[in-house]
This record gives sequence, C-alpha cells and structure tokens, in this order.
Amino acid sequence: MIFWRVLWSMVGKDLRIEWRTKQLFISSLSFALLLVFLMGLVLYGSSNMTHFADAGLLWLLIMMAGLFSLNRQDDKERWDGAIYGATMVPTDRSVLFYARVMSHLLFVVVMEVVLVPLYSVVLGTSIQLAWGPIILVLLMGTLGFVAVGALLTSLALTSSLREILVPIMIFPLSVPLLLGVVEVTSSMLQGNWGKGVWWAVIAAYDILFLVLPGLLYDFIAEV
Amino acid sequence: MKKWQWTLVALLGIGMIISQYMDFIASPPEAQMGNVVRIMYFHVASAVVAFTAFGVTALLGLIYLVRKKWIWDQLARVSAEIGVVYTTFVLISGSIWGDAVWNTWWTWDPTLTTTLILWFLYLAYILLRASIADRERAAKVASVYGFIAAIDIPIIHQSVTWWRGIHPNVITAQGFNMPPIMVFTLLFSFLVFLGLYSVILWISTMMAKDRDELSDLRELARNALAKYDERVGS
Amino acid sequence: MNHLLELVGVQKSLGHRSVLNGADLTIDAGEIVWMVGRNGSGKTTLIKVAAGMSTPGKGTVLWFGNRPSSRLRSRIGVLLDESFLYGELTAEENLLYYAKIYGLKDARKQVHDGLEQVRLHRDKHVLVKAFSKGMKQRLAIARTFLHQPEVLFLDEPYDGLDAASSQLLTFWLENLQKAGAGILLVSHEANAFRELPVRTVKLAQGRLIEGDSQ
Repeated sequence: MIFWRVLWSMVGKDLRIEWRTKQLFISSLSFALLLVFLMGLVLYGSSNMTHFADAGLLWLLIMMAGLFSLNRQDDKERWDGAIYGATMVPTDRSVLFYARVMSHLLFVVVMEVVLVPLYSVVLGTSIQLAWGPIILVLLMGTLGFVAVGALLTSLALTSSLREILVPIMIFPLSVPLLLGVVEVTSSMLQGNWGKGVWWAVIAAYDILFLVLPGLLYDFIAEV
Repeated sequence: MKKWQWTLVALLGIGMIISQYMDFIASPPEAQMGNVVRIMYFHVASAVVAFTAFGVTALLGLIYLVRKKWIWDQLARVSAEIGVVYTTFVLISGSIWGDAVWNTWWTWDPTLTTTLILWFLYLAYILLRASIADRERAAKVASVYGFIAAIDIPIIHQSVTWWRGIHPNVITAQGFNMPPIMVFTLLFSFLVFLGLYSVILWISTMMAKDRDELSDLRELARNALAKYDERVGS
Repeated sequence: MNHLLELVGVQKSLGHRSVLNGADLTIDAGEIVWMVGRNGSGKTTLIKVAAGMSTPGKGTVLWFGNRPSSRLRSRIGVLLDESFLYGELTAEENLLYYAKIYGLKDARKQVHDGLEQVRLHRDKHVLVKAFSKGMKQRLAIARTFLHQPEVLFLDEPYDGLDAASSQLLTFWLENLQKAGAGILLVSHEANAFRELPVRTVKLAQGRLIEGDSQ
C-alpha cells in the first residue's frame, strides 16, 4: 500500500519536473535526431547496410538517448540533495529504483515515438512486419536498458567519476540485451519474428534486472 | 610473515621454475601449431586465474554484504584487481597466439568477446571503488556491482555464443584433446598460477590492512596534536 | 521505557579519515540535545548515521529501541545543510510531494498551514530554484516538520533565518519537546534557543562527551 503510494508520488513528481523543463528533453531529442540525420548522411541511406547493421545503429541510438535521460534526471535529483532525502522514504527503499525505472521508461519511449519512425524514413529502412511486434521489442529492450541504467546511476551516486562511469558500466553489462534486441529487430526488417532464443534472452534480462536490484537496493540506497 | 608462509612461498617459487621447464623444454611441440602451442600454458592458466579471481570477488562481496567484515571486502577488491591484470595477460597472449595460428590479431569469437567484456566490467569495478570516498559505501556498492556482473557473465557468454561461434576447445566432454604430457604441463601451470594468485591476494590484503591501520594511527596523532594545540592556545 | 534514539559505539570513516570513533548517545522523550564541536569534527556525519541515511562501520543505531526500519522512518525528521527540495517544483508542489510520500490526511490543508506558518504562502507558486537561501531554509523547515516527527535531526536549522523565522522555529521546537519528541540539534546560534532546556554534548576526536567542558 505505502509502497504503491510512494511509487506513484515519485513518478508523478518526475513527470511534472520533466514537463516543466521540456526544453531539456527537446534538446536531447534534437541531438538524437541530428545523429539520425548524420548517420543517413555518412551511410548514404541504408541501402548498402545489412539488416543487422541497420538494427544495430537504431539500438545504439536509442541507448544513447536513454543515457541522456538518465544523466538529465540525475542532475535534477541531485539539486540540493533531494536524492539523499529520498533515502528517508517510509517504505522499502527499492521504491526509489522502481520509480526511476518507470520514469525513464516513459521518457525514452516518448523519444522513441519520434526517433524510430524518423530513423526508418531517413535511412530508408522498410519494416516488413506489422508494428505490433516492433513496439513489443522496443518496449522490452528499453525496459531492460533503463532498469540497468537506474541501478548503475544509484551505484555511482557518490562516485566522483559518475558521468563517465555509468556508460563504462552500462554498455558491457547490457551486451546480451543489445545482441538480443538487434537480432530480433533485424529479423523483423526481413519480415519475421526472430528466433525464440533471442526473445528469451531479452525477457530473461528484463526479469533479472527488474528483480535483482529490488532485492539488493537497500544496501546501495544509503549514502 | 610466519615461517610456514615463507616455506609455502619458497615451494611456489620452485614450482614456478619447474613449470617453466615443462612449458618450454619437457613438453613437445604440437603437430600443427608447433612451438606456438606453448603460449597455451600461459594463456589458459591466466584465464583460469582471472575467472577464479572474479568468482572470488563475487562470492566475497556477497559475504561482505551479509557479514559486513572489512576483510571480506578487501579480499574481494584485491581479487578483482588481480583478475583484471590476468585478463589483460589473457587478451595479449590470446592475440599473439591468434596471429600465429588464425592469422589475425582479433576475431569476434565468443570466448574472446566475453573476455574483453569481462575486462571492461572489472575495470569499471576498480574505477567505481576508487572514485568513492566513503569506505563503507564503496564496499557495499562494489559488492553489489561485483555480484551483478558475475551473474551477467554467463548470460553474456551464452548470448555471444549464439551470436557467433572458432575458438579451439581443448577441454571437451570426452576429456582433454591432448597428449598426457601436455595435459600434465597445463594442469601443473594451473596449480602454479593459482598458487601465485593466492600469494598476491594474501600479501596485497595484508598491505591494505597495514595501510588502513597506518591511516588510523595518523588520525589519532592528528587528533592528539589538535587537542594539544587547543590546550596550549587556551 | 525505550530511548527514542540510542547510538552505541558508532564508528564511521570517510576515505582514509575515521570521523566517528565509538560515539555513544541516548536521547529520551522530551529532550533537546545540543551537539557542539569544532568544524569538521563529524557532526553532520553523526546525524547522517543516526538518521539512518548512512551506515556505521561499526556500532549500532536504535530508534525507539529497534533497528532502523522503513516503518520507523516515517517517525523521523531530518534537516541537513541540503534542503532535499526539488528546484524545478514550486514551494507548494514540494510540500505536497512530501505530504503524499508520508500519506498525510488532508495534505492540502496541512501544506497550506505549513506554508503560512513559514510565511511562504505568497510565494507558493514560485519555483524553488528561484528562492533565496533564507526562503529555501524556511521551506526546508516546513518540510521537516510536515509529518510531525517524533525524533528530529537538525543541522544548523537557524542558518539564513530572519528574526521572526528564528522565533517560530524555537517555538516549534519547544512545542515538540513538550509533546515528548527527541531532538538532536547542531547550531552555532546559541542565542536563538537560549530559553530552551538543552542538554549539551560535545563531539571531539570522534566521541561524544557530556557537557561543554574542554
């Protein structure tokens, strides 16, 4: 009960702050869009790319956008120590983790809504499958990535190298997820659902990084 | 160090010399690879040490989270550092071997890829620890990270294997694909390398202990001086 | 009867510096403990450890006779140098957020009252990042007292306050003390609370000594 109340208050607060500072969100999105454009430029469209490279570029782009989101929120929470005050929540501290995952998921998904269609237009990628499965893999991939990200930003909370350390930790840890989503997405570009094992890898990764941090969070929430 | 510890270290030294003799002289060149095969004794043994070291880090980190005893965390930290050094050896020796046998310094083979990811993962572990001032916080955060990284490693390896799969499997389900003398040389080098790992782990941890005690003593001295200044001043 | 707060042999190091070295402290109902000590003697660290924001290296912290737990955290209030406020939210939104976290009944009314008492009701729609130091401090105080905590940790609460706000704070402290709360206070503005019955402890060399003696 208390847990859900606190969770919703926190996500609501994040959304309110994000809405208020939309120029920050818009500037990160613009940067991501600029990258899409630049990729189109240097790659001369995707006609000379394999499906795998096509899907891989898209996912790297999404993960970069995700990193922006993580850093941006981290800065706001850090202003005058709100992030430390949050350790005084009257419920299990894992709520801090789940609230972060939910907020980030929302932000990154909103970015993807603009980014993904634009990517497919600018790079001339034709998707040979209904949008349903694409949306599913986007959601599952993003969820896994923001979960790892939310965990790692909390780990690096008091680190003096935090800005550079989070990317150094996040990319090696998310290799299975990256391979999974890229494999599945590249299959979708060729008109099929992709191999079952890759869906299994993505699902296992999501579950692992949603459950494990929740169990360990009490150790790392303290400062 | 006590006498029996010196004896063990001396035995290890002798073992290392014997191991060198076996690697370079006693064991035969391989049918196809020739003398290049000798890199294996160093390469595979380093890999064994690296994996053991990271396993130890994960396990001791977990014990630290439960027991909160300083020593477990320090052993975990030192073990991760040794692991990174040995992973570097694995990558370098593997590259040299790859150039000689596969004619390429680097391929996207699953084992190679996993090893490189491992190197990044634990480099981050060291950076994470070094950049957090609060000792307890650093220990806790590193323990959690070390544990999560260790759980992720099999998943990484499995996913990279499904993604691509040319590394020679010297150890298969049937046993070793090698003549007995080479098997013995390899196993002996495992033993020696793990012995060296244990010695480095132990000595470094003792050094860390001394360092901490020294800083505590410095703190005491500083406090005493402050107190003295206060008295003289007032 | 349990102590409201009990610290036994608390030890804490930051980097290679050991800040607390076997600190013991008890606070009972209706007590205001004034902790003094030179700069860098570890007063803030002690508050963080006592409030459960930081784990001690060794030793135990007990709240109401129990180990700190999430349930008990709702009965604790902390005010540090950092206000724990969100710069991108208005004064009212900040307090409403904390009221929701603590699950206060008629949150709007309580927030409104709190803002009025610290005289910020006219600025309630202003973003906190535009606040002056004093205004932020007043809002942080309203935030700390919002859920009527039974144990309070206050680190320099009088910092940046004008005379009227100082009086209000002292008045609040007196009321809470009479109501049986326990307060750990760090402040160098001794004049501001001279009427309050305080017990003085001194933090030196990582330990707490009763009284202000050298």
